[in-house]
Amino acid sequence: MVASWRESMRWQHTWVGLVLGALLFAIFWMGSLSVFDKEIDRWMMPATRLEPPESLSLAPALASARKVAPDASRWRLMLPTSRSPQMRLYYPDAGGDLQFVDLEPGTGRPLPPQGTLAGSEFIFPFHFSLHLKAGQLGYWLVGLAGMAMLSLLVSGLVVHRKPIQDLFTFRAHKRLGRANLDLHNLTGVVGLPFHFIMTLSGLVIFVNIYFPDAATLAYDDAADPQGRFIEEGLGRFSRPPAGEPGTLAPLEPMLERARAAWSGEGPAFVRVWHPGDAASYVEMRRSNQNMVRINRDQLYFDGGTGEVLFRFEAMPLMKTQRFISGLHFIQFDHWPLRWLYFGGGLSGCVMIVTGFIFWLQARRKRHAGQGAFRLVEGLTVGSVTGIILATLAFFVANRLLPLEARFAGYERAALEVWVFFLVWLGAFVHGWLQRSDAWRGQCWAIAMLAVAAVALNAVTTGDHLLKTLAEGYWPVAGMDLMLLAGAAVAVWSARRLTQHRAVRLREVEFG
Amino acid sequence: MSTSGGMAQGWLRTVQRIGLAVAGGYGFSLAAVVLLAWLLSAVLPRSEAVVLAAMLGFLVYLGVSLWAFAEQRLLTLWLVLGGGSLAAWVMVSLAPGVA
Amino acid sequence: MVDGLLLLAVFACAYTGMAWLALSQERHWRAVRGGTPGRARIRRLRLGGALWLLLSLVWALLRDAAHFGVPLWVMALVAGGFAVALALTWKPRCIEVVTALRH
Repeated sequence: MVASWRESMRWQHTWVGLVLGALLFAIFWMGSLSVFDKEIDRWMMPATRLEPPESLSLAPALASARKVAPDASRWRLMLPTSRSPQMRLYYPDAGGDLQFVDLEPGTGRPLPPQGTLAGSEFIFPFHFSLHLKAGQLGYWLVGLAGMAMLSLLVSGLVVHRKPIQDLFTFRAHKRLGRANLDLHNLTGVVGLPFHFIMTLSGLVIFVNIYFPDAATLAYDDAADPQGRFIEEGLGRFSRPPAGEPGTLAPLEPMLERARAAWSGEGPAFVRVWHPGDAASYVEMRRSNQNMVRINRDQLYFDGGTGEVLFRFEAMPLMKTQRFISGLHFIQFDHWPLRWLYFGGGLSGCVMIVTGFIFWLQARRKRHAGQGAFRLVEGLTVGSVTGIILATLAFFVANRLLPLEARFAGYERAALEVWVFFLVWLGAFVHGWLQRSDAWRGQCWAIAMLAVAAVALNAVTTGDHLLKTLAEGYWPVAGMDLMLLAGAAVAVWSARRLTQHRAVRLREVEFG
Repeated sequence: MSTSGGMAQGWLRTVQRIGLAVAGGYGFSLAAVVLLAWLLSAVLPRSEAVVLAAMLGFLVYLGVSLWAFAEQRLLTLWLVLGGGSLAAWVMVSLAPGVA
Repeated sequence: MVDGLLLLAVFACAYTGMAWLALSQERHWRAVRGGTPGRARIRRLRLGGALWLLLSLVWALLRDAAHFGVPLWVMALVAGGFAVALALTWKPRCIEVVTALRH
């Protein structure tokens, strides 16, 4: 019974891992980068490399909003933080699509558009939605991958006969197969607390996307069950526009009241509903900088009088859900944890790659010529080094495309995304054509693109590494240093792969 | 049947098993979530009952989807996971507020 | 400054605890110290290792209180585990240093 249970788990681990490994790698890779999404923003949007403002004034930003989006039904102003010094104004355009423009925090003046989705609008959403817009397909695929990840962690523990005895074992000097499997087990078992908590918390963020019927049924007496659930659980206030013009009271007193209500902490964002209307109202959401929980503490003020209309704080279990979500989002200020998350995410990437390599190693002798084997070989290359290469191409394109670039009807930001996907596709094709030799080539390409990105940042913005290090401007210095570190790892890997290949060729010749 | 070869024997069985693990597992979990939310709403505010039940749903899904690979008899899987999914479908489509 | 020292203490204790736990396993003891550890010593290493890990938690809670401290501690354990595994592979000296006390 125990033997067959382990056998069935081995089968599950092998095949579920194989089928979803590529998707999981993409999610882990983008998730690891998302930890530093705001820093990637600074690197990719040089106009936002600003000092965080000393004090906050909303009036100039509102004046800009009136100019930029006079007819929008709402303005959401993301306030500056230590990681995002600019203000970001989100507003729905005439078609209802959300647009954003960055404002200089002191003057409220719009910053020149940077024509990029950068970290927080490309890399971060990729992590949880894959940018698949059709319905919620991307969310469901990521959810499926997340559930698969949880089950792979459990089945992996079952398959691994001695997870405790081998906990610290990494026989790097043994043959490649042994070292690879040790590394898979090491990253899987030692990293297990991180991987399990991150995967589960990632799923918990979207409870209501993955189990929407729970709310629909619990509120089946309401005309709009989902709306009622959100109102009661997450807090929401709304009222229709009056259709008559009105003036907005100054926001500073409202800010003061919010700070008083939230033990001195300010809001993360201020949202003005129906601006210019007599029934306008102002929503403030408490900042997450000093707590794990992605809170739902809200205050709504009447736009005309500044009186509090509605105040909300979530109930304990919803707070728990928001705490678990917050563990995943890491929106709070904690640099040691941020780096640990980054390392943990990359260890997950290593776990997935070594899993793939184990699958290939175990079958290379018997099946090397078969189409299915070759398919997996190319798939592995494309999904591992390929996505890294594509990400670097995305960074390089960001530094090479002029601000006013347009091509075939696509805006600059879309062109960057095209570069990403085309390079990724190319990496798959390269993987299928060159097979295991593609690893080496792509490692060299990664090294070159990473160094090129650092050089291009220096040339196009003047913020070269010596300067940013001397000034202690860490968002850009850190990104450059990580790119160089990545290049070093890629060169090391490429050279190891070359030696390995030489050994293999000798074996073929003389063996 | 104790080898992985036996496990993979017959692609039809494999397809069934995967379908049961993924779709049947989800349907079963959904039924559990909906029922639990209903039971909990007797002692908790409704939104709290919903969010607790739904969070536990992921663990239920994890458990049954692994079990779908371990249980040898497909018929048992069909009865439990298929039955659970049917129950979820009935509950969702017969709820008074749902058109 | 105090924050930095406490952070260092969190990691140092997590690493030391993991190193003690690793040495309580015969394979690693043999590789680092030679010979076999003996039952009493294994027990002492396990208990000591657990205490080091607990001490790491104390520093984390002192530094960051519960809400940030517990995640920090969990991540320090993971990092400590990786560090010990890599040290055992390439630099066993780094294990000896933190386990050089008489046990």
